Formats: sequence, structure tokens, C-alpha cells
Amino acid sequence: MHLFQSREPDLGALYDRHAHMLYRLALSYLHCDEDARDAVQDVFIKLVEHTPAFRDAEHERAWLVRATINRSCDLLRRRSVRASVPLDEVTHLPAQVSDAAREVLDCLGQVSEKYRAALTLHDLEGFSVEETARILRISPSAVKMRLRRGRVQLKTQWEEGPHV
Amino acid sequence: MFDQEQVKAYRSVEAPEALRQQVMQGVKAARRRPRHGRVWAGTAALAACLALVLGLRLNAPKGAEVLVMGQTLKEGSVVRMADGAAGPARYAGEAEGSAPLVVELELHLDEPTRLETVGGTVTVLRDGESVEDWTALEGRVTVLWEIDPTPGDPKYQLDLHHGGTCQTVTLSYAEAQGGWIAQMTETPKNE
Repeated sequence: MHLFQSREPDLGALYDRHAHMLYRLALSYLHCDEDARDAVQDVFIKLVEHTPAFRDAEHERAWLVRATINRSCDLLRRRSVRASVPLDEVTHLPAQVSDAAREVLDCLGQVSEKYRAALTLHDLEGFSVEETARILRISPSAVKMRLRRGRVQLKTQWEEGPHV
Repeated sequence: MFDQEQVKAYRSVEAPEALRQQVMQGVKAARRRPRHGRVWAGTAALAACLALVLGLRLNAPKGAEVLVMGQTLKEGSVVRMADGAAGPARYAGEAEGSAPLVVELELHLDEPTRLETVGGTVTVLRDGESVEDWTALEGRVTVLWEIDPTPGDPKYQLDLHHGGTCQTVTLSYAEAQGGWIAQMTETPKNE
């Protein structure tokens, strides 16, 4: 078995390969540019601190994606415990995000968290059902169920109009 | 389902340029921080040697202790996650088969433990932060286990592999008990 050793990861290359996707993922959870940046930074710090040995490029990607989702959820939990202002007053999407992308992110934000992960990974980022299952540590049938339910929620969102 | 234009719009979102520098600086700062492992390695190694030389075994590893709603789950015993009862389990609905349930388990792990799960969504936390690597968990961790009963996916099982044993926590809906129950079984591993 070949180990894709990450003892001294080429962080620059890793960043260039995955940053856009990780940032988008974090943004889909946090709806805030600053928080999304922090989440991505924390993931790379964790990578350096734990130096996981990746089996291959897919394993590397799955680790980073899962770490980003987990970190985003951690930040969301903290935010909901501390927030004394309405959530929509602490979310700031970056100015360069297009209106169309903003709409997608807004609707995603209204979908239940566990369905959101499946939708984002599969429908938006293009991961296969199997890859999504591996990343989320659930069965492929559970992924399909979440996609189905998430799309139903999305459809409701689109019909009711995007939430801003 | 998103159409092509929406997918394209979503994928057009890119990480800001400044983020690269932010990440590299953060990593540089993290590398400079002394790690607990390095700081304490010498002391821990000395303590281990002393224990060996003196023939002391301070505590035989107890393996994994699993607490559900503050109660230790033992082999043969059952803990019911009763709605309305005091405890961390959140019962988010009434009807069996449709309501998601989040069960919080507290694990006290005396030795490196590999965690595997079947069914539901599991999040492992240490001090409030998510843990990605489940292959060698130790110390105190919290497991948030969200189960969403669906047809065809009825099995909810959490395996703790450590030493020569596998401890299995199973969640199931018990009609007779009127709610979800947690049970533990222990199996010696065949090498």
C-alpha cells in the first residue's frame, strides 16, 4: 500500500488544489466571508498539526472536505450559543459573489444541515454518491435519501422565493 | 435540484486571494507553537520507564466506558432515552419512524480506541471541537449520534475497538419500552 505521505505536506500545492472548494463549502455553512476564511485556515492548521498520512489524492480531498464541514459546524455551534443578534445580521457574503450564487447559497442555508452537506457535495461540487458517502461516513443509500429530501426542501424554497 | 446555471454560479465563488497568505501565516504560527507531545514527551517517557522498572501497573486499562444520559452503559443493561427525562438526549418528535433523534454519548477511553459506526450521522467532539480521525481516540470524547429512522436503514450500531475487545452500542426502538433504548455488548476479538 502506498502512503501519500503528508509528513511535510506541500501546503502551497495543497492549498491551490482545494482552497476554492473548501472556501465555498465553508461559505455554504457560515454565510460569512470572515468565518469561512477562518474555517479554511483552521483546517490547514489542523492538517499541519496532525499530519495525516493520505493513501491517495481522493483520501486527501475527503479529509480536507470533512474537516472543513466539521470546522464550519463547530463555528456555527459557537455562533448560535453566543449570538444575541439575529443570525441574518451576522452573515456577510463577500461582495464578489454574484447574485445567482448568492441565491443558491441563501437557499442552501434554509435546507437542513445534514441534507445541505449531501446537496453541496454531490449536486454542486460534483462528488459521486460513493465519494459523498465516504466523506460523510454514511451509506450510499443514506446519501441518496438525503439528496432526495434535500431537493424537496430546495424545491419548496425556490417556490416560495429565495430568503434574503 | 440545481440547474446548470446555478451550479456554474456556485462554482464561480472562489477563495479570496488574501486567504492564501492568511492560511500560510496561520500555519507558520502553528508550527512555531510548542506541541504538547514534544513538551511532555520526555517527562512521559521517563514516567513510563520508571513504571516498568518498578514493575508497577498503575491502572489496568478499563477499555471504554460509555455513558448515555449520565448513566454508564454496561453489558446486559439497557438505558432508555425517555422523552421528558432529564438528560442530553433530544427527542425531536413523537412518531416512531419519522422523528430524528440526537443521542449524546460520553466516552471515557483508557486506551487508543477505533470507532466505527453503522447508521445515522455521528460527530465526535473533544472539548467542543470536531475530531476527524476516529482510529485512535483516547481520553474523554463526546459522540453526537443523530439517527433519522428510515425504511431500509434500521441498524444503528457503534463499535469501539480497543485491545482485544470490541464494545458495541446499539440503538433501537423498543415498542415495549415505549422509546429508544441503548444497549451494550462486548465481544472479544479473534486475532
